[in-house]
Amino acid sequence: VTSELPVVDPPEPRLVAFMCRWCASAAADQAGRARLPLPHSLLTVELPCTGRVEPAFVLQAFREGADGVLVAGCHPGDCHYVDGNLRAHARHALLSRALQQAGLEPERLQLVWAGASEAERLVAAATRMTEALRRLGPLDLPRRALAASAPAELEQAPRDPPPRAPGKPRVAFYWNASCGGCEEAVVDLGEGFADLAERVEIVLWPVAMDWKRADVEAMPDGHIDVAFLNGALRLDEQEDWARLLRRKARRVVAFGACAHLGGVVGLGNLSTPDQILDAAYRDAPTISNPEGPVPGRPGGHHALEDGALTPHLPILLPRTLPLAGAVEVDAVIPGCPPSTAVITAALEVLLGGAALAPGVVLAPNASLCDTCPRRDSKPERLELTALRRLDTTQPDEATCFLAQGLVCLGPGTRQGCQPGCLEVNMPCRGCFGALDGVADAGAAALSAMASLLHGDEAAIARLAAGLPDPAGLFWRYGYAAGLVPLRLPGGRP
Amino acid sequence: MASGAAPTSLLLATTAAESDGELAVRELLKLAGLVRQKHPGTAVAVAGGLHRAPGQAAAARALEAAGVELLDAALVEGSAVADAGGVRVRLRLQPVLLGGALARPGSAPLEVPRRFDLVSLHAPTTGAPGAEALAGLLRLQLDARGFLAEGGASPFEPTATRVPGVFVAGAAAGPRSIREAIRDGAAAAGRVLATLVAGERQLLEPLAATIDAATCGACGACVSTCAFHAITRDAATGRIVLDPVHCRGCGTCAAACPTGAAEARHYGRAAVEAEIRALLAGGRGGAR
Repeated sequence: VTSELPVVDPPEPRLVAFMCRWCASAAADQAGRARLPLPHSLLTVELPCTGRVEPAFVLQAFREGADGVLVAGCHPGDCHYVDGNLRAHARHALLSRALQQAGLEPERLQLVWAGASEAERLVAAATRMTEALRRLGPLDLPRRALAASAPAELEQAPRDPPPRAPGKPRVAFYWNASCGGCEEAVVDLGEGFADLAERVEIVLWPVAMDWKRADVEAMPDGHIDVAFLNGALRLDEQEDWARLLRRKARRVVAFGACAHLGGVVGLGNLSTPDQILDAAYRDAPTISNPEGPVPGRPGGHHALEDGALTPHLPILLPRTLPLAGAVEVDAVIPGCPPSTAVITAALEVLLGGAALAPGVVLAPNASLCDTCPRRDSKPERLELTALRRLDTTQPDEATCFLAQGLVCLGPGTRQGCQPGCLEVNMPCRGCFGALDGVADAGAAALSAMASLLHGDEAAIARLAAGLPDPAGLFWRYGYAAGLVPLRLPGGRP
Repeated sequence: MASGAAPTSLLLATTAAESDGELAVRELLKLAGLVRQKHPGTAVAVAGGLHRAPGQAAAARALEAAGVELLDAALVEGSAVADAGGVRVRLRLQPVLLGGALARPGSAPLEVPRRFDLVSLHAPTTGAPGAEALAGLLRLQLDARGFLAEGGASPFEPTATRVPGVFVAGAAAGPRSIREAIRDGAAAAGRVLATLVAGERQLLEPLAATIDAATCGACGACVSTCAFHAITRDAATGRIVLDPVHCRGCGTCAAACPTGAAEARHYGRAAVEAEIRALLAGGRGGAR
């Protein structure tokens, strides 16, 4: 559609507007009839109510090229559906703050109320926003997110590996940006691990045995039957290893939350690599670094010496990637760390050699809430008018955390962890990720939690403000795999 | 009176801020008539809101003929001071009855001092004590004075609330005279009866949401977003059930659902995602 129109120079900002059909959308129609100048930048998505706006829709719009997003609904008290607009208000309050943590300028995401007869008000809001977006310049997320900060091509599974050499299944364990907990989880299989060691031939396991990279490079492609990779990809060296193992393995399994979703390492994407390195090597109060050398920065360490690269410290990638950000992943064992039960069941599937759906997550496609031992304590309607914090409260051991005003991500998180956090009186923090088909686990968790905040407009704003770190809270494990997985321009870290 | 004697002069008044309309006027005039009858020696004055109740004009004139003083004024709030000689008050003249002479912008309201033996103030009505609990149960709103708010989509839906099938009539909705309360009740009953005609088919909302039982974890986020109680937790099974008869199709539940089990019809997830993609697919051109 656009290509048939002349390109305006400088380009107009692209403002995606989610509009309630009862008010803002009607106001836009009225503006048209009255020949009021609605900005051409407005790309309208009409919905029955602003309550229908999923935070993931907003993130998708930014991801796919919107410079700004406007959500326009009925004034509080005027909602055609009683209070859908207040649910939108709660979600907006949390989402806009999370995006500001990632550097988004607040002008790029706005919620306005405009009644059906308030064409002027809608036009003024859209015009004001368009002018602000012109000042800010393009956000350009598609190029930044998809091109500039991620590998151009995924390393694919070997297409025609030589016939499999006879013998027990050959298994590799490798770790990238991880804490070691996933390795611990393998050892924690206990007797199960002894069985596994009997059943397979371990051909690589740096945490336990001494192999060199050259040993792996010497293997023919497809030599390894299953390579379990834990950890996110944060350093160039880790990406190299992931690609190498992808070539050598018939199946690559993302093991644990960091390989699956980027994990806690992915929260580093709320900052740029330079910000991270400065914080660690220059600005930390305990650091004295007057000459200012900083390791891990792109460039400067690749001096050639006798035709070879000098040894250098690994370089930070532009952003943390989940394993699937660089290589084709055949299956996922989720969790931080994966539970014994999930690993044991997954090993049966993987070593059994049955066909797998590409990228299948080897844990039940059902939410933790569904098997929570506290589920019967949940009231019919969860309407939270006060929130509590874990660090200042002792949760009751038998009652639903949400019913106690504590944030719990169990509603949207895949089950399989148990016994896990719930059993030690901790709410779910989301390490198993979302169910199949959910575009962004953090956005879904944020929306569900925000939907429980009740009260008038001001009370909801106060409740939302009581959650100080929405990005860390809802995207603790999934930021690097989310729809907006990186540091945005503007703002402060 | 402390002495037990009938007062020689009595003021029956509303304050200027009083907004009970005809109800207050009716009560004041009725009281004035009773006092006139039982204590003919007491001088009775009535102040407040007479102009707001044209329906009471005849009754007011009859009382005036019987010697009741009708004042086009209301009591200035906080002006009543009791002393040994009775009660001193200030009365604010109601500009509307002064031919607009006092209604000029910036002109101070005209107040006159008066003295009475006894002053009786009409107490504005407020909502019933249980109204808040009832409003919570039915998802209705209370207005500032504690009455259940009317809120139909148009003035042609008298007594309707924003919850379909729930109507509010009489003193539950605000200050009402008996006549007004009966009129409300009749309107509400008529609207209810109109939906109960035998053989009549009710239109259901085609946008009603759906919940996929396989991926629903019964967290209940959708239940708390539904203003119409269309989504409930089955007490026996703990599962979440959506009643399409009560669903209005706003889609707020679908946006709240963290597993994707709740889905909106016509504004489904995949459809909206495709729309966003299509809007932005053209690249940066300056216009759609």
